[in-house]
Amino acid sequence: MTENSVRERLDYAESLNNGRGKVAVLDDAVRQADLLGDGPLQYDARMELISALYYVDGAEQTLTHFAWVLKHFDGHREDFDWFGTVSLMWKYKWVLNAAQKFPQVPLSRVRELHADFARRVREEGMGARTVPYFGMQLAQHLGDHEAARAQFSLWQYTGRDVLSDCEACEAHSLVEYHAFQGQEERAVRAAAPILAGRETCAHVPHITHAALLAPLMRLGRWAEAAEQHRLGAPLVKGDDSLISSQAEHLAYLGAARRFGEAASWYDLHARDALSTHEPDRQLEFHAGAAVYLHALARSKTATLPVKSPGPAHATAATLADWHEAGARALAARFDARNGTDWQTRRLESVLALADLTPV
Amino acid sequence: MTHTFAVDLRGLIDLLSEHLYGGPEVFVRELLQNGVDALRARESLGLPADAALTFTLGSHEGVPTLTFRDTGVGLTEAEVHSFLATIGKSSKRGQTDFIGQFGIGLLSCFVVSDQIELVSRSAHGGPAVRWEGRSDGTYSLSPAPGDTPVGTCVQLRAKPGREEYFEYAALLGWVRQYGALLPCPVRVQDASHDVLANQDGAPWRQEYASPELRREALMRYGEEIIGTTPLDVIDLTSAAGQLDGVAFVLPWTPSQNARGQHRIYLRNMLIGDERSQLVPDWAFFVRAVLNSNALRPNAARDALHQDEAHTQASLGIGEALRSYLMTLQREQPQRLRQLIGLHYLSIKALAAEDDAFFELFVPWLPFETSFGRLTLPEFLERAPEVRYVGDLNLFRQVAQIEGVQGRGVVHAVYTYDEELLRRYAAHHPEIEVRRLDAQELSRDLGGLSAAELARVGPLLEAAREALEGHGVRVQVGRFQPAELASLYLPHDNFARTLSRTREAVGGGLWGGLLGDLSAEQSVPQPELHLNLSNALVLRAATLQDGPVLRRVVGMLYVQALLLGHHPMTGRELRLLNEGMIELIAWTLEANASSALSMN
Repeated sequence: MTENSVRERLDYAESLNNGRGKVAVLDDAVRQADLLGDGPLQYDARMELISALYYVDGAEQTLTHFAWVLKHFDGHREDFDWFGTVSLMWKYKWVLNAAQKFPQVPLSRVRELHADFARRVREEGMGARTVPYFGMQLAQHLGDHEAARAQFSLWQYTGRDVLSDCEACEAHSLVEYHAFQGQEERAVRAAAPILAGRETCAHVPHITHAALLAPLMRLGRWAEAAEQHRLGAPLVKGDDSLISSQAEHLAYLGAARRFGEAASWYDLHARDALSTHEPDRQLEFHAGAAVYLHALARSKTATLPVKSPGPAHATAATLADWHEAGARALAARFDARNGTDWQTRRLESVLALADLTPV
Repeated sequence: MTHTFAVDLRGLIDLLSEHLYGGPEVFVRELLQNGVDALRARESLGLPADAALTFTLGSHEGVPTLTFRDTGVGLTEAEVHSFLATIGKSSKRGQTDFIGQFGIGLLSCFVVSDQIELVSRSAHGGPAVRWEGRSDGTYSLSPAPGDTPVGTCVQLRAKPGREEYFEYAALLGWVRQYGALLPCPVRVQDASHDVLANQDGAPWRQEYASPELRREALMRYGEEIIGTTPLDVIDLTSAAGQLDGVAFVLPWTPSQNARGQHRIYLRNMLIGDERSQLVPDWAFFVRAVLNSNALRPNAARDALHQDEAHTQASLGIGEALRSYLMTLQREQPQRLRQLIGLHYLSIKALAAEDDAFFELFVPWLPFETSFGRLTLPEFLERAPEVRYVGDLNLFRQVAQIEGVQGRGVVHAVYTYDEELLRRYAAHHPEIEVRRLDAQELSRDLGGLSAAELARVGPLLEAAREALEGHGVRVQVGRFQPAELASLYLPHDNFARTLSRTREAVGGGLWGGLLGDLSAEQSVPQPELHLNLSNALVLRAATLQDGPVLRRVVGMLYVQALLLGHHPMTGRELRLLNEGMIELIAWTLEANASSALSMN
């Protein structure tokens, strides 16, 4: 095994489709690079791995490998040109998103991370727009509407540069922001360019269709919700980097009383979704499943999912309760970490979808 | 009399040339489309015997020209004004029969020509009219000669730099491409040629003397389409979308970018030679030529409008391809194996992502297993559940353990294998599909009797002391091959990665962050298995001496890490270092004292 053979592995990995297979190959390449102890090779292999982790359930690993990468970068600053810096800073953005997903990471640590990122933005002279952009997303996670509004203005005001999220992602964030501020109508309108096919990227419009489901249901626009489900479900089906979107579709199917389809969707996704290492996604899935199963229990129809990931021989009602309990426990952990009650309140508004009457 | 277009023509032309899908040659399609629409409109009035579309190349004062003639319904002066004066006027007003917009279609000609001359006489009656439009936005209208036949004639003059679009071979190629399926004759002429471009029409619609001859003809057509002999040809029909056509099975796997290059015709006019979502994405291993008489084009007419009918039609195609594969499985399994063999990696890749495809192919995909190369259904005949090893490195180690093999293990170590198994598990919740972890594997490593366990007590004690703080559980077992003294089984590679990275990163913000993450790793400890079948381990088990035994265990641990290709932490490296030095020292001492005693 030599540096060349590891580099060949990295090249081979590039030709693979995104997914666990690619991650497994790159994981092995990192291990081999570590055995060689070749710093630049270890760096490159990890950077490739981090890119591939974006497409799977990989936040924990991203944080871990990024820690190494950052340390190497700081210790060998002179080896990196502008492109190398952009590449690193781009991944730092993913890290900002990843860190808040773990309730065992204290809020002070998350804020330190944002501060460290902001410092580097100043020093490297790139990414000014991303600072309020991620600040806004953190504020949304905390349920701080005022802070989110302030960061939103700053974000909209600052010019785009090489580090800004692509226009499609930014367009999607706009939709999420309006939904967060309780402005469902505006959220739906903001999605127009995405739905018209003018803004697309790796996960957009995949996540946008899903994000519109709840607002549309709350606005009573069930036909449009059905259309968003029709368009979005095939895009997120079976993709374990899109568990939150799968959960949103599950909640829709339950609230719309499409129980047969909900059961299939649940059977296909529950196992992987609940074994995810990302607590926020697990929370979303528990919530979506609870909506579906509460609606099912109340309707007193017979279709149940084949395999219960929870208690054996569960009825719809007991399984719904199990999911709700799971969701509440996670929401409570986040709230305890955040010092607010927002995650629980947000969960309750999701659970309330089961009470809506489809038209 | 000179009039002006109601919009900025220059700007529109620039816009068109930027955004025309497929390049400036699209004007050929537009002219054909207008001609086809005009012929159709005239049909309702009774088509003349010489219904035809003709492209004639010539030159005028040294400038190449192209004249396109149709014997269709023609235009009255009022219609000319109406269509051409307001570009962008929707075809919905009045001419709903037309699938094209006459105005926009003609506009595409301005990309290759600065001047368009249109002479037309309407089948509805009235005088013939001559329209001359220029790219500066002006146009003029005047009477045309009295003997102008019913129909329309459009003449273009090559713009500087666009002469290549007026070359015979190129034009013939485009006309063939766009118009191959048209039912009316389409001729391409110049001074020395006069060819019926769509002579053959759609080969799958012709009559043949026998099925063998039909297949031969279709395979030859396939060679033209894909550039080499196809593996097979499939007839495709679907009531949804009123589709008919053929698909050719490719003898190579196209790269991601080269997929989906199907030829889609709409009412016998080529709508796109580029990506079409009519043929499902998963059918990357075919190239299709399809005609639909019922689907709708998008506004630009360069792709199909994706509505419910389109979805249904796509499903219909999927069904047809699926039933082809099923038939192949039943009647020509060799050919199916050949197809899978050729497209193996891509089939796996796609099956890992696409449900429909997965369900279709998974019963036929071979996996490496401890029983040999089997499909999953075959494997499940020999074992009640699917246990798999997903980690290449782990596989390297357990591959040698006999006990593990006996109970049936799938070696899901090739790319996409694990994804396929996970998807299989999702689709078949009634079948147990489990990734093997250290705990399970260790159960396959033979246990010891109560007496033996008692005898190895001191060994285990020493092991625990020696490896304290390394976060590993020590077990003693008995397994084959005997040469393997010890085996290191991590339950989860990530836990080890996390602790190694923590060691490398040290303190600060990131050390703290990794510490936060470590706090919640609920993964069981990795296991070190010492093999009592191994002579060395057996001897070590009889040792009483504390420090020596501890040192031996430490070295067996490090050896297991090395054999397992596990990068070591600083601490483990120190253990290796110190261990080697001490063992060397003891050996030298032992030699020295025996040398002394010999004297």
